[in-house]
Amino acid sequence: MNAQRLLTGAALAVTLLLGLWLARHVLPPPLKVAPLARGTDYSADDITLTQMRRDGQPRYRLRATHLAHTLPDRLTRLTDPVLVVYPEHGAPVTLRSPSAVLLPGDTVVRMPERVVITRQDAQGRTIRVISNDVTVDTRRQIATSPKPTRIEGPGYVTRGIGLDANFKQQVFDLLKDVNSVYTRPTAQP
Amino acid sequence: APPVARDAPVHISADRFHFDQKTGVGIYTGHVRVTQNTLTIDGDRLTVVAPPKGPVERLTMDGNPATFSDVTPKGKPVKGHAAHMLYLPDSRQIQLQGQAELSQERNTFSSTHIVYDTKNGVVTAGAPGHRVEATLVPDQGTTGKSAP
Repeated sequence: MNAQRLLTGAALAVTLLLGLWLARHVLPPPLKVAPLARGTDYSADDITLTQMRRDGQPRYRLRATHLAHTLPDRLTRLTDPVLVVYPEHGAPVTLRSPSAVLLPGDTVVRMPERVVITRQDAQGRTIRVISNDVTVDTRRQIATSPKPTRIEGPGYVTRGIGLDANFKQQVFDLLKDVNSVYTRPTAQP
Repeated sequence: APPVARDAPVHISADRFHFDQKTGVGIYTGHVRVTQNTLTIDGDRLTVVAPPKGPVERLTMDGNPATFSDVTPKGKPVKGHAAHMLYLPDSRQIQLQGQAELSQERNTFSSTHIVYDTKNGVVTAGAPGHRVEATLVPDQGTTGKSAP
């Protein structure tokens, strides 16, 4: 009886050892996927990204012809972005520029150059704001710039240095060196 | 002075500008200057109401005091100051309110309320219950005695 137990134990040990040897030598080595440390993490073309508010309404909608999210900075770079911010009060605000960067956290967008902001008011009047180096906080619904800025409205053009816009309160401030020209709007044909 | 064009552009310079899109009202603050043709208005704070389809409707300037200067259609200098000025470009009228004073060459008017018509160079001073003080100096020619 003892001999038989010994034999069974030995057979088990041999099987185990054989299995280990096979695992180590025959099966392909386990794929070690190191997380990407640097470079484009993901990219996409012709995208529309909508972030919602808690009340289920859109906070902003961001369209771009190309998007690339990079590491380790966790920035999302956008080409030909069109950012539409939906404040709780008043009409949506549209911001366009040749490029933009969505910062980590996905609520702040930086638009470095040739930024055009447009918005209609209750009477259908469109105001156009042109600036550079604009930072948009979609959660606080504000846009700021330290650069020369131009506001075009019906019958007037106003230039100044520095922009503070609050989309929720529907106000635009120019902070320095302001010059305006008001002209009598020509009668529409 | 050249014929004053009612439609001449209105130029404004200031330190800061605040525009409220809900009301369409623009507020300029800090070293504010308004110019249109020969008219210049200076002050600390200017409120501009510009309706969507029309020209600038009214400009309200506050200052310590707010001042204005212009040239009458006959080419004579005119200037004035007040705590509060209202300029109506369409009717080309300036309303001076609060310690208002206006002088046209050597004639001066002071009251709480003075209206100056920049188109015709006409001064209307006074308001119900408020007196007007005017000092009118006849021209040298009208006294009949010419200087030797």
